[in-house]
Amino acid sequence: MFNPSNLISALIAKNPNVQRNPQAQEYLQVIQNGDNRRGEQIANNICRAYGVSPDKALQDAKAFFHIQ
Amino acid sequence: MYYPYQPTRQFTPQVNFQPYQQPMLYNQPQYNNQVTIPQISGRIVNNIAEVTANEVPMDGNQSLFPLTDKSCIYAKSWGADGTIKTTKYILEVPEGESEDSKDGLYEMVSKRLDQFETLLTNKNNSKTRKEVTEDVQSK
Repeated sequence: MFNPSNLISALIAKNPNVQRNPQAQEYLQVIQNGDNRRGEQIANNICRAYGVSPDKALQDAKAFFHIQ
Repeated sequence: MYYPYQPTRQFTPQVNFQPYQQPMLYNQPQYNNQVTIPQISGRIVNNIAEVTANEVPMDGNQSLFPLTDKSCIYAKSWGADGTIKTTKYILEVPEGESEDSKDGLYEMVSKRLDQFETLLTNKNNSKTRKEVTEDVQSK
């Protein structure tokens, strides 16, 4: 069955900027593997580095992608 | 023959097109002869604590932050776990250009000058003694 998220992740993986970026490769692999725990850990670390709470980051991300 | 359900609008493929403007060029990569020079991101900082996460690129490259006093350079990059990794490069003065060797050179020159001064003083003293002797003899 067609899965849009697979298509999106495949498109992202083919992006040369992502291919050159080891961090992005790691993040993409986490998404593709569906490793929620690891993904949450990375997201929390990024939020901590930027000094924002995960809730605020989620709000900002939703606003950026126009998600209600 | 008349067909009552025939659509009145005929298919005209050119109707919505813009005037012809070399459409093939849109999908072709544009090459130019400019050489892209790799750039290093970062800036000079007084304290590494003033560097924010926004200043560290997420493109896999490092940002370099030399301290104002030139004592060290901090390199920051994003790690695979979503944290910022910091590496510190400390100043090491190459051998032969150290302050100690400059001090040694200064000491050597100073010693040679002292020797030269002593030599001149001795020469003057001996001359003075000779002159005194001549003066005494003439009297």
